[in-house]
Amino acid sequence: MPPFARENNLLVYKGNNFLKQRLLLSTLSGKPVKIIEIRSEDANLGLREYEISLIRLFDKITNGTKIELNESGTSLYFCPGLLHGGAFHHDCCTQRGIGYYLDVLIALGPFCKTPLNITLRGVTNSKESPSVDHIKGAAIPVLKKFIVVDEGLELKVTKRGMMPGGGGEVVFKCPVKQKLRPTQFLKAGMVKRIRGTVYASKVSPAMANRTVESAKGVMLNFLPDVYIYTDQNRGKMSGNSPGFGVNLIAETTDGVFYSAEAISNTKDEGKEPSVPEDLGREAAYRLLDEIYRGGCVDSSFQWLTILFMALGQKDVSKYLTGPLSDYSVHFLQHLRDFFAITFKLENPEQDDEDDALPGAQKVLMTCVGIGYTNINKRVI
Amino acid sequence: ARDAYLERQSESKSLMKLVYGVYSSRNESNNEDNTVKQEESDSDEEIGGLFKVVAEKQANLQTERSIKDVDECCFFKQGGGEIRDWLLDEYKEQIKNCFVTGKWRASEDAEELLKLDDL
Repeated sequence: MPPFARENNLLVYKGNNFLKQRLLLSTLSGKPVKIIEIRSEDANLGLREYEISLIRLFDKITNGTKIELNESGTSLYFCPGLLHGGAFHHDCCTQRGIGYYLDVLIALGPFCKTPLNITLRGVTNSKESPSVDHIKGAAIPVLKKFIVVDEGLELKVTKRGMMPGGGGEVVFKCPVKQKLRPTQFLKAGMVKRIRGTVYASKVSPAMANRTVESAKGVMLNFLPDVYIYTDQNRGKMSGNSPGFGVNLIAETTDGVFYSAEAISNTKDEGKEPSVPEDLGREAAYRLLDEIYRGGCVDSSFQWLTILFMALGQKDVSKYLTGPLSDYSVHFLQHLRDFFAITFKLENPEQDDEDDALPGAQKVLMTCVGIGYTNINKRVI
Repeated sequence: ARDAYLERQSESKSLMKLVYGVYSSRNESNNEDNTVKQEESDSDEEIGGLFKVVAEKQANLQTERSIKDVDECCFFKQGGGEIRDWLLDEYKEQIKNCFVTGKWRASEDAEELLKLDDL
């Protein structure tokens, strides 16, 4: 969606969707952004608690950010300060998973003044955001591709927390970089191994084992190298709510990671309790969907790749991805609003029957980076 | 729904237009002395054209609304939320070669390369 209006540097948008994208790009580009009509026709007006929590996180990571909200919370003015980073902790709202917040830190981490060392508390695994395991499996490798030296990069789950109570804890550390490396990644390779984690908090250990059994059952149809760990938690380590789920990660011969997840229903949702066998199968099918889409990045983190490509040095970056998700399409549009950068998108031609890429139609993204540098790190 | 989903995945043309097209169409409508548009509406029947424009606008508004009030989510939206049963043979066939157990490209296949060595 194009911006509703432009006044000098200020960009005005309507609606609550893509709040995170807009704040993120605003912070990186230094352009202020104003968002109006946030759920203005909803019975429950204005920003949600989890969005406020996100804005707080932006405030904590930067220095000198100006935020103005109107009384009903339907309009937000955000003028970004300088990226500072550093060590702090943040209590994430339990309406959404930690993944929702962690995304931001991964995208901003390399450009901070001081290395990030952040403790996030809240829900580690939830349905509506990528879980912490998903990010660890699929987003961190993307970051590694672009920053080359990944010393000091760490993501650790110290406690699990399920919806709706939360109580999980995650530690994220990220080094600072002066600039990003332009990357050409055109070969996804073939899936060579499948790893996974089944986590269970405050439920019978049998649940975890049954989930492993069924997920493995499906994956063994395709590949013999399948191993799924179980992560049983009890007492303090298990957060405030019961639940279980499974995260699967597929690794290819060229170091691409795909991930998929399935999580049990919570008691708040009012649905039938989940059956472990169904959950395992669901996760496996989702992973196969992801593998079918293919490309050199997990479909949930296409936007991260796009961002890093755009911010790279002034050189050509090329990336092969699966079909673009709606979220990525909107991210590309926003990127054009904030940085005036346009990607070249095309479907790679498949000249040879033999060399045809398996799976869904792929997209080849090409762009020349804008040469974004970390203003806090001077060149010596 | 599934067919539409599959079609979307294999959509091959005008990707650029899909992504960035919103802008050009918006600029066009902003442009007041847009002769092309005028001609178009002239060639339409007077009233029929009018209705068309209104309906189009209404539809645009609706899609815009459906996008702007949704909660942010970065997952790939499945067609209708259903998951394919990948264990069915027809689907299995489609995905088989994504794994190392499937067929390799001729340039990478160890067996083919060995044959080349023998020559």
